[in-house]
Amino acid sequence: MALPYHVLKVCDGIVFAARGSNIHSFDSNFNPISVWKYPVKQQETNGEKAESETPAPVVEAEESPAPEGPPVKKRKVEDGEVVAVTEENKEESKEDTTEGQTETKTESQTQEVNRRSRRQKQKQKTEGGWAKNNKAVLEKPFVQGMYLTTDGRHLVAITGSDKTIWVFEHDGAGNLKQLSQRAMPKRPCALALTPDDKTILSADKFGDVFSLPLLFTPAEPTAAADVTTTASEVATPEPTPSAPATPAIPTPPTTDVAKAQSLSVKPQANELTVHTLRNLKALENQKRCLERQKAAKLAAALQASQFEHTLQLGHVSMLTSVAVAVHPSHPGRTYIITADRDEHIRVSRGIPQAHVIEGFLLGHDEFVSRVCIPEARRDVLISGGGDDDLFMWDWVSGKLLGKAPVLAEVKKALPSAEDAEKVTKVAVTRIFDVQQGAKTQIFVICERIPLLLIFTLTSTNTLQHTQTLSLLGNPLDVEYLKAESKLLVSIDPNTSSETQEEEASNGGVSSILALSFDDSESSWKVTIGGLKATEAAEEESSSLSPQDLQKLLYTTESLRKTNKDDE
Amino acid sequence: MSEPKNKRQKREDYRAALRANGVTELPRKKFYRQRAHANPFSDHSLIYPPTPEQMDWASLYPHYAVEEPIEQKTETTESEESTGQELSAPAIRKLTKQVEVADIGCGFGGLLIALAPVLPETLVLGLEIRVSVTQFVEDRIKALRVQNEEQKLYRNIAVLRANTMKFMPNFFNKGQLNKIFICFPDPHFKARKHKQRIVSTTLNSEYAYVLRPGGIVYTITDVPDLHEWMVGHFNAHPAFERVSVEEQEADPLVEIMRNETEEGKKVTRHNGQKHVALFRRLEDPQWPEDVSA
Ligand SMILES: C[S@@+](CC[C@H](N)C(=O)[O-])C[C@H]1O[C@@H](n2cnc3c(N)ncnc32)[C@H](O)[C@@H]1O
Repeated sequence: MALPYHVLKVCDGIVFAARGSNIHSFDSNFNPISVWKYPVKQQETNGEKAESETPAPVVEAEESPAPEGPPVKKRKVEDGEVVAVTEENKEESKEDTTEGQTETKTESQTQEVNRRSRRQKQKQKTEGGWAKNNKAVLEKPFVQGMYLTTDGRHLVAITGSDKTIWVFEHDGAGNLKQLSQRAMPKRPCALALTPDDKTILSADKFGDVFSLPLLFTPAEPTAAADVTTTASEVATPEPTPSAPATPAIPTPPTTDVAKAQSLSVKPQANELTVHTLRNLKALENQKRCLERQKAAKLAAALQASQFEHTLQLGHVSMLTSVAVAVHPSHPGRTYIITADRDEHIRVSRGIPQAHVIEGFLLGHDEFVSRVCIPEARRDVLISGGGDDDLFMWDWVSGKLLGKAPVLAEVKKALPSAEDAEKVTKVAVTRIFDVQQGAKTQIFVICERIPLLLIFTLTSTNTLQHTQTLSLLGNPLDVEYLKAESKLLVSIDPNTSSETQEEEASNGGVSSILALSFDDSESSWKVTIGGLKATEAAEEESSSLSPQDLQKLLYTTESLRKTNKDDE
Repeated sequence: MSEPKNKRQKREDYRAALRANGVTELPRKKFYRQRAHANPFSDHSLIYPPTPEQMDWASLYPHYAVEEPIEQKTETTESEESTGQELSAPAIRKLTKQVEVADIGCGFGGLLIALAPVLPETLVLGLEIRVSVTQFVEDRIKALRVQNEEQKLYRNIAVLRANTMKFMPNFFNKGQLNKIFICFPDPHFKARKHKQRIVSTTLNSEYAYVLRPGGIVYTITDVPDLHEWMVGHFNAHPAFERVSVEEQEADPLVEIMRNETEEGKKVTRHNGQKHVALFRRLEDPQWPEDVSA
């Protein structure tokens, strides 16, 4: 399968384009500059720091607010490579672990963790609801998002299944130097940077927003020592003073919100304090769980985060988008805006008062997947997701300014009535603003819809549809090359509808389209200067099956609530 | 759940009959049992309004509805595409006053019923995630209203099925409430389940959002560690301060909370301990820019 460039980021004249797990850079004519490759063997890549930084076995609690695919279970093998354990080879792998273990402490702990995650898995299976395990997890984690500091000197990326945030130094010419990698406690879904470029906000799958310093120097490798300490502290009910995750709000005695692991393992009640049958059962359960908790703690110690990260706020719902906003009326105030799968958009104050919720932007009937505050109109927020319309808000007052139809425009633009009938819902994947002189243009793409919708945000706060452009395949991301006045749209070449003649005359299937604005016709047109899939092919094609690749690329529609389980 | 069909059928028949009966009879608990926990993270087929303004409160508190239904227009879509296509939503009758007291995880409703005559001028709402428990409370309130028609009692209390961990802002506006009760919440002993606890650093921000400054959160539990957890998390939250013991004991609602919830009665029967803590919602801090200016 040809891998598409599924995430784009433009920094002046440089285009960063993520493809699978790697980040490519190009100049504005799409001449390749460099490739950052996801490290295969992290121990080699990172030298002595690898021990503390290797993504540890993933143990996700089953009560995820975001039902997703099956949890990726990984097993650490001796060379530090991460191998997924699938249902099929589970038994086999069990044997592997018992025979092939080296007698390091980490190894045996890892196994405990594995056993635990297996049990969880079984439980999940019996409770039902998880999709069949998929092989996609065998791939290296895909890049899920790329973000730039305002000065363009740092690029920050998230990769998926390893929950990692990567920070790169950018020399301004398209070369990236990896500065750090930090594996978060839960999978980050979206990031934002504070206006001073010093802090990353990471919004995760469990609904929490953590802040992390952009620049971070990993502590000297003390992983082994740390693990031992944690192990001995397991019996102590006191939180470890060294626990690095701190809630922004001072930590109450037993809190652990950030680590999601309380260090207290004594039963939290005794027979005298427990009266109801329900509580009694819970207590019994708890006692039985103590052993398992120990394993969890070890996993946490392994996995967690040997770096500073502070809990700023949280929803009880998967977060999909986060933005840091400054309203023109109060340039000194920053806000954090978070959107979730349960239709909410929350407006909180910025750090250090992120515990203050200023308001909510309510009205969506389906998940919200994207929010956009146009650069030139920072008083306005446009949101979209599983609803038929885009919503436009005066976000500081919480007032809905209006809506603009997405589904209706999509239906209008589809070639045949049949096609139009088949499309009954949309999932907005990108809302992107471009300032052209005095005009604020809003570009919108939806999952698996080969169209680019273009709106104009008027000075009277309406969102006017101005154009719909047919694309040759499914759009994955949108960016703007300001210097060239070109809009870039990355396309999934596997979905391309180009005929062979077209392909030949175009010089191959398009991977990244370049569009420019034709003043005479007042519309956007595909122009020369994009990137062809053939040019992009290189050595990288993927062993992923088409279905697995689709699962990795098209994740937005799955946010829609379907299996509303009850009672 | 694998329970015999006929048993479920019986319950449904019973509940239907009760409702058809003009609801004079108090419901019996045994026909409303349900498993103890509902996962607050999963997508229950919950019904909730997109915004508090779209909530049909009049169906919960019919005696407080204003006479004239207010014509509700859907938000005008200002985009030119849809001018002239505005539909007006079904009229929602507004109330003469707003809900100001919420009982989060109200269970079988004992506290609501005890509060009704004590706070006659106040609308009190119980929120409960379990369907049949909610149904029980609803039937109970209906019956009590009918039985006490002449004294006009129990018209100021109602119950709603809701997952408060996700959807509080759908029901209540900023600063709308002045009291929140959290009575004998599920302890969720396991560390792994602590994110399911109804009190946490991040959820406390939501309680602060729906409470007006000066409003009070009432907590009670028989589990000492949960008590400590709640005290720890509220004390640590900049929007709350603990209410002094003197003030706490002077509040008549505290005694009601101790004795009138079903869970509280159970603890009494077992001579258990009850740990009470109250917290006051403070004013929001000044913006840092305003402080430095
Ligand atoms: C132990 S019972 C206490 C009931 C009642 N407050 C009493 O004291 O008798 C806790 C109740 O909270 C409810 N609950 C738990 N999580 C909830 C949530 N997220 N939203 C609403 N109710 C919830 C449970 O269903 C249960 O009925």
